[in-house]
Amino acid sequence: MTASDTRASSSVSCQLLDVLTTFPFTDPASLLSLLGHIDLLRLSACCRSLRSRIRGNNALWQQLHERAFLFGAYRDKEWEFVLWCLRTDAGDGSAPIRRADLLEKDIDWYGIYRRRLTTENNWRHDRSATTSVDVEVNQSKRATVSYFSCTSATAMVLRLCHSIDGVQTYPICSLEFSAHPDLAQAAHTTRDYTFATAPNIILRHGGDRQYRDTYYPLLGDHYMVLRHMDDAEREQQVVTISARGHTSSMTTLSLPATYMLREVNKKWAFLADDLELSSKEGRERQRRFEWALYRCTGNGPARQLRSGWFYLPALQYDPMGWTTYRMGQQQMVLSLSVDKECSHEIVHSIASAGQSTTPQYKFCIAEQGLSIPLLKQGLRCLGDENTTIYCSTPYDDSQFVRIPDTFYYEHVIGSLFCVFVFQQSGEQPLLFDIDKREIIRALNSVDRPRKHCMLGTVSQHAKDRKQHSLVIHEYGAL
Amino acid sequence: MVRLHSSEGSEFEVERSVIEKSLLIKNMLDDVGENDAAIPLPNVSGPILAKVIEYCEHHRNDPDVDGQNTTKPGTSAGASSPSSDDIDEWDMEFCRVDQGTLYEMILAANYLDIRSMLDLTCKTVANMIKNKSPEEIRRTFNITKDFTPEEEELVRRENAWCEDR
Repeated sequence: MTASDTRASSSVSCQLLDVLTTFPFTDPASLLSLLGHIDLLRLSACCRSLRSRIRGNNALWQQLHERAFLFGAYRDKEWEFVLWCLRTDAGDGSAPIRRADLLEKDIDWYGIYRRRLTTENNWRHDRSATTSVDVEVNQSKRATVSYFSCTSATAMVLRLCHSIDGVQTYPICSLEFSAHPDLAQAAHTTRDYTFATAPNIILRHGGDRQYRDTYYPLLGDHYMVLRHMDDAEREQQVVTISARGHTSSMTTLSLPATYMLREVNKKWAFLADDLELSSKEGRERQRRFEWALYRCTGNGPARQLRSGWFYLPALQYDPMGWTTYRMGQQQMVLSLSVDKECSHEIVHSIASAGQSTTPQYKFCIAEQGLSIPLLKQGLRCLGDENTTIYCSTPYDDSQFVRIPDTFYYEHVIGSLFCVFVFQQSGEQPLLFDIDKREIIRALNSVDRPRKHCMLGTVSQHAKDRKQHSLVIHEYGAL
Repeated sequence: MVRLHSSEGSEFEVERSVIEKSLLIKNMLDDVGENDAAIPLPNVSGPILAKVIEYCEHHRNDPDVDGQNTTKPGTSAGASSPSSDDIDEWDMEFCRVDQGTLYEMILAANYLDIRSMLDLTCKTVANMIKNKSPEEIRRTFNITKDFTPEEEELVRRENAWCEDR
């Protein structure tokens, strides 16, 4: 560390700041690294010298952004936000699609930090741009959205429902929040259907195969995955992975038909049920689940990262009613439904390969509430009051938050969650801050189904029996 | 014992184990070996050297703090962000000096390479900045506002987002 380039100043006090702000910010003793963004910007408003030293210090803002957002369970989502900023920076749709190409650009970390914080504040203060878009397929007004999937922080997958000559089809498309009207005119025009006038969303062609039981769309950071099964070969299924913005498929995977595909950002977990049932006489039947985590880098075939298995606790549940919800690359949740009003959620580690221990601790949402540590770890599961959660870590009472009549929740941004509660008037979504443990505000509950991602919400609104529209609330800051 | 000469030539005697909190002096002693010659410190005045010795004596038994609060650039470190809220009572009293002295203490800690003292003095300055308006910061540190009215208005508009909470 050196202070040799300290500027001479007329006062000792000014010299003090001069010295400190020239210390490398990466040093823990650096004055700048000890200040938050508010104090930094107030300091930068004191004089030109401090302004240029702080506002123009890209590495300082990068460090601030990394410390504030790029860690923990939502790190991948936060990176998607960064990429979204890079994609929308130019404002004319000219930004490259590929992640690697985007990251080669000079990144304005001050701008990204500002947009990230403003976006979260937009959520808190209900500042959104609202757009209504008619749902149409080939100019037909009879299409509806039958399915929303939100596996990306900045985009959603929509499965439309459309009837042609009495035959139902289910075209798939993606909706990306762009916040720039011009981006709707971007180069990706190879689509057979579109939402009529979409001033600030892009709909990209995702696939137009006839819907079958196992046809499954997923959208990661820049891949769309189409899963389909050949009827003639029921033992195998094919997963097609396409890069965002490209019509040709990137790679395919052939998997056993029993595997269920769940996306974990750029990695996919595959699970299989009923692989082994120990049914020896006098011994309880034990259910074994296998999983595998694959990584697709975009260069060559998908590579298996690790695989493992675990045995379920002895539980009663409907063998046909299980599903999984991702938590991240370290943990997943297996949801086992007992009946319509009750389910078990198994929080299971996928951090290491091989057999892992059966979770031995349990808590009931109705009695204890939602576990804050699990929410922060990215737990995404049904929060029905009758749900029992099994996990490998015991939590004390101070680590729970109780929101009466909760039945579902989704992570939105930062510490904000959308929590659905039953009220006399029906379902009411609330914006809840888990750090402050307080309800920020009620969200609009009229339109449904609705889906939340970091940048906004999309819901379907029935204009009349024939015509449906999408109502899009965008919170992403420019 | 180690003998130190301040910039004015005042001599100070201090135990080796105490002054070895200074990496500069520790390295010098390691290089030179046992030697009766005084170590000249031309960049440190007598009163400031006295403060440095006072600090080193008080913290002589503290564990090495190198690496505390550090975050490698480019790594995620949400939980380990540096904080200036953890100054203990003695340290706070130690830093209750005029800004000229504080400035010289920072330069001395930097020159003598006493990381924990540099951390402490920087945290003290950070706390003098926190939760103050630009005008209050200017008053505290005698900073002259050199923005034109247009520039000041531009800065105010550009910074407006950070006041939105």
